[in-house]
Amino acid sequence: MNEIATIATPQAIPPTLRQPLARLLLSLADDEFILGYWDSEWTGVAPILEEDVACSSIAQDEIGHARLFYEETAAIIGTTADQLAYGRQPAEYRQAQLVERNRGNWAFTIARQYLYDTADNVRLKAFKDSAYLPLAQDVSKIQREEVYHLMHTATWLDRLANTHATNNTPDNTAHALLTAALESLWPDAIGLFEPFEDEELLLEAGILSRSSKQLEQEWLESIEATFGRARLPFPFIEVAPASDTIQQAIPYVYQPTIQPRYGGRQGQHVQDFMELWEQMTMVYRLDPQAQW
Amino acid sequence: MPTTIDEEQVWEALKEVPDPELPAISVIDMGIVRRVQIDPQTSSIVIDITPTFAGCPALDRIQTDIKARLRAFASQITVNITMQEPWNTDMLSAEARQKLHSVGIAPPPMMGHGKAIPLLMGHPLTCPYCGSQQTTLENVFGPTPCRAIAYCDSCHQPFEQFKPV
Repeated sequence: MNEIATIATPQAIPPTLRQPLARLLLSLADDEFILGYWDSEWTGVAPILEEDVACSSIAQDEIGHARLFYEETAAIIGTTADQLAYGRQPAEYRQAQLVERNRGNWAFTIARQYLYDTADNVRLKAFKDSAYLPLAQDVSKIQREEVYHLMHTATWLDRLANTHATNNTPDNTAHALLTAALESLWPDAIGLFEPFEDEELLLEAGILSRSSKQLEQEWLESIEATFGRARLPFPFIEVAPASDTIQQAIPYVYQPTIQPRYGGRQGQHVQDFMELWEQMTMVYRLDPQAQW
Repeated sequence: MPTTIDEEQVWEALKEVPDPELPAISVIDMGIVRRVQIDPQTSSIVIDITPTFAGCPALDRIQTDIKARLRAFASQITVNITMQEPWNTDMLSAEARQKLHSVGIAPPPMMGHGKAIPLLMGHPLTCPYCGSQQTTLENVFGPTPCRAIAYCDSCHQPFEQFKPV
C-alpha cells in the first residue's frame, strides 16, 4: 500500500491529477450551484412564509458552497469562479441530472432535496479525509452548515409522508404527491453516484477515499429504513455481492430495479437545464468582460 | 510612508472594521481575522480572513473595508480568504456576544465538541430583551445564514438567535 501524500496547495498537485481533480471539483460545484438556483425559485412563492425564508437561506448556503468549489477549480486551471459559474456552454457543466430538474411542486422539491442532502452527507464525509487539503478544509466548513439542511429536509419528508386530514377522512394527497415525485426522481438520484472520470487515479492518490459505488451503497443503507417507515418507493433489492467486487466484506449490496439515468457528469443535460442556463447566464453573456 | 509598521496598531485598526451585517461588531470580535503579515521593506501587509458562513455575502465588502482602513499603514494591502481551521461560533469573542445581545440577537450557545442541532433546539433560548426563557424557536432559518428566528412569549417581541455552527 503506497503512502498517501497530502497535497497542500494547487501548485503541489501532480500533473496527471490536475484535470481529474478539477473535473471532480467542478462536479461538486455544479451540483450545489444548480440545486441552489432551483431552491431560490421558491422565494416569494413558497407554501408558507417560514418556508420562503428557509428555501432562500438554504439556497444562499448552497451557492456559497458552490462558490468555494468554483474557487478551488479556478485555482487549479487558472480562471475565475465567475467564468466557471456563468461562462461555460451547457455541455460543459457536470452536475447530476437530479439537481437540474425544475423545482416542481413542494413534494417534488422535498423529495429531490432529501435524496440529494442524504447522498451529499455521505459524499462529504468521504471527502473530509481527502489528501487534497483545500478540499478537506472546504468540506469541513460545509458540513457544519449542511446539518441544518438535512434536518429541514428530513422533517419535511416525514411531515408530508405522515400527514393525515383533520376531518377523519383519509387524505393521502401529500403522500401520493411525494410518491409520484420519488418515482420520477429515483433514476436521477442513482445518477448522483455515476463514477467520476479517472476515479481510479483519484482513489489511488487519496483524493477520493471511497469509490462512487461504495458511497452509493452507504447512502442507500442510510436511508432505507426511513423509506420503509414512510411507505415510500425504494426501488432496490438486496443481492449477494459479486465475487470480483470490493464489496465482498459485506453481506449484500443494493441493486436497482429501475434503469438509472446517467450522463450528467459527461455533460448530458435535460431540457430544464437548458432553460435554466439561458436565464442564469443571460446577464453575464451580455458582457463577459464587465466589472461588477 | 513609515519605514516600520507596528503590528499592534494594525490589529487595533482592524477593530474599527465592522461586520457589514452586524455593524456593532468588528471583524476582530467576530473572530474572522486569522493572520497579519507585515513586510516593511516592500511596505505591504497581508491579512488572512476566514468566512463565518461559506455563503456569506459580506466577504467582498469586508475585504474592501479592510483594505481601506489599512491604507494609511502601507502601500500594498492584500486580503486573502483562508479555509484553514474553519470558523465556528465558539470563535466569537466575549465582547461580540455582549454586543450581539445588546442589539437584540441572542448569542449562540458554546459548542465545544457538542452538536449544533441539539444545542439550538434542545435547550430553551434566552430572550435578549427581557431575559426570559419562555421563548419559541419559530424558524431555524432566518434573514441571514447565521441567524434563526425566535419569539419571546414573555415580552412579546421577536428576536434573532445566532445559530451554533
